[in-house]
Amino acid sequence: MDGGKPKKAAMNTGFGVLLCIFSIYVIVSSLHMKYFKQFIDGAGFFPLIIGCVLLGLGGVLTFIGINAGGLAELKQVFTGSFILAFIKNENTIRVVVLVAMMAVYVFVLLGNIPFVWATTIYLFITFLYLRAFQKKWIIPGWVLAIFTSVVTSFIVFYAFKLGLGLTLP
Amino acid sequence: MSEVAKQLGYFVSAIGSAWGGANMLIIAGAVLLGLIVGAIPGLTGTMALALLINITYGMSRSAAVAFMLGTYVGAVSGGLFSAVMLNIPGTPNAAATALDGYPLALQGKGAKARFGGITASCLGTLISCVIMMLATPVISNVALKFGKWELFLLAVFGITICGNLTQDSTPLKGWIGGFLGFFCAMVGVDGIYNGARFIWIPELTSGVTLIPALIGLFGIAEVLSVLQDRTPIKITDTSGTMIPDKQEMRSILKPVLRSSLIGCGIGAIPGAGEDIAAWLSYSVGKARSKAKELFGKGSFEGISCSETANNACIPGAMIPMLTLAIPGSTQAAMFLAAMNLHGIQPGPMLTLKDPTFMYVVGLTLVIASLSMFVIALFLTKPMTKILQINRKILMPIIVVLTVVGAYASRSTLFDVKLMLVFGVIGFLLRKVKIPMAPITLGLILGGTADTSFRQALSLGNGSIIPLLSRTVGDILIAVVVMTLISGALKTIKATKEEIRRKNEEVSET
Repeated sequence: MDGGKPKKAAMNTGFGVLLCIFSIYVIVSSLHMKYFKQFIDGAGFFPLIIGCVLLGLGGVLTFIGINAGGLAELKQVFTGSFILAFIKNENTIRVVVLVAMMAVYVFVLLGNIPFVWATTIYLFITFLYLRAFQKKWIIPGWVLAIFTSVVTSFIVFYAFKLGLGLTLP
Repeated sequence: MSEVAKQLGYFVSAIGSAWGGANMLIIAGAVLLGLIVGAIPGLTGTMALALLINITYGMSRSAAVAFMLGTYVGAVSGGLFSAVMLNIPGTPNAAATALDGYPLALQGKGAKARFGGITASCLGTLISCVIMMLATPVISNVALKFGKWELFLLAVFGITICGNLTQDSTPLKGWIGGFLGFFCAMVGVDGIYNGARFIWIPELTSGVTLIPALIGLFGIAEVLSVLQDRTPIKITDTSGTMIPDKQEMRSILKPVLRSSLIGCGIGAIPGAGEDIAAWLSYSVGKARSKAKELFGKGSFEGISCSETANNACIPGAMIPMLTLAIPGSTQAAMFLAAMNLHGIQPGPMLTLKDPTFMYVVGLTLVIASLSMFVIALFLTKPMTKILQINRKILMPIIVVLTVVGAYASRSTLFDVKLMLVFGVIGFLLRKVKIPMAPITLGLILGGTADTSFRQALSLGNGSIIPLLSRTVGDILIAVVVMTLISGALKTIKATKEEIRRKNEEVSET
């Protein structure tokens, strides 16, 4: 498990256990739903079956994972050195940062400030983080990033407004 | 009037709808768009269709069909450009094409390889369209006899077979994906008594909206996967003669009919999709070829096998979608969602309500395929520039388009948030090798499976016994059981193989 990347058996075991826990939640919730005439045509009947099937499938996945040495691998996952390597992993950092930027864009910026501004800010910050633009002739990369962000935001906004009659938030 | 004459009448009236208005222009534009999207590694046809569904909002029904199908054909065909020129399949269905396309490019025959692939793609779609237009009315007549019990079994069959056939994963994980999709479809009020289910926040009362969820699964999740990957782009061989010689042309045409049948057949299996069709056709072609030693080293026959089959899969995927409302591939699922937006409900009743629609779809695919042939040939040179587009610039812009796509369906910001949540979940599920196709199928079929199952049980007074005396239902149960057994055996085999490999690694160290 070098470089903070868990192995297949550990992932199978971990995911299998999480699936079992989730399935139990689905089963319990389904049993607490309203049943009007009879049990079999109640709202919770089909989700109950889904929960039971997922529990079975999760159990099999956990069993397969453990058989392939998943428990030993999982123990390594919960060691300090692994967690440190995982946090420092370049790919992990990139994905976390990108998701965080998307979350800020969707949950914070959109709806609070106009679409064009929100999109320009999101694109500019993302381009900068990804180092998407290099210096061209005498124009610095960040200037190109701002230009592309603004132009893209306006094009998307007006294309949808004029083309489809859709006013973005 | 005989049934044949009736169908011929529908066919003739469909010609006007398919060719009429600005449809030809829309198809050409959509094919061009699809080819570009399909060629760029990281952008898949499913993602393109998911993003573009909302563009069809303002279009008429026939224009929307033309646009979606044109994009679909273009995106499936476009993958061959990057497979040949970069050795990176633009879409997963072109992975088998890269095995022979890239070696041919290294031999200076890249242009010929692209011509062969484009020709095979066009022929594959055309042959499969004929099969589709002949088979669909027959299957529709059978489907009309299906009751609630059979519809439920079909939905279960859909996700089990889809789980079985997923690439790079075991059937077990495919089934998990399918049932997770079923679960997502349960969120909201139920379809019979309006009982609340898993409504964690008030916005979920109307359930998980299909289009934002699909945009998240195929848009955001793919953007994250692509930006995590740092594959360098290096273009190989963009020059050379395009027209193959007589012998090469014979190699291209030889497997077309067989691969078309394979592609159409695989396409008709729920959720199986173009990549499975391409790989199966490639391996059958290799086994039956007289020049099998060339496969993997630069065989025109190999390119033809995979490209014919992946395109033939498109009309094939339309057969279960139109007759049973079960999409044959993830792209067909997007098409289904788009049709729902336009008030068309595919399924057994479609042939009664709108008997010409199936022929409109078939004829539109024929036009799209012919357009693809012409446009793809002209696109060969400019494609070298398109393939060099910086993905670090493209992907954030795709994120903005996913936001707009999710917002457009109901003009609510909640759908955008839902899309992002599904995107992140989709990305994490990909990491544990849960395939996306069964999740999509589960999401689409979950509602039908739920209401059909409960209504069927109610008709049987709560007992399953009366339902077991229905012949079609019994056949479907047998097929589902066989699918589950074969999937279980496949999973056991894969697990044993993994344990054996692991033991070998341990003994080596």
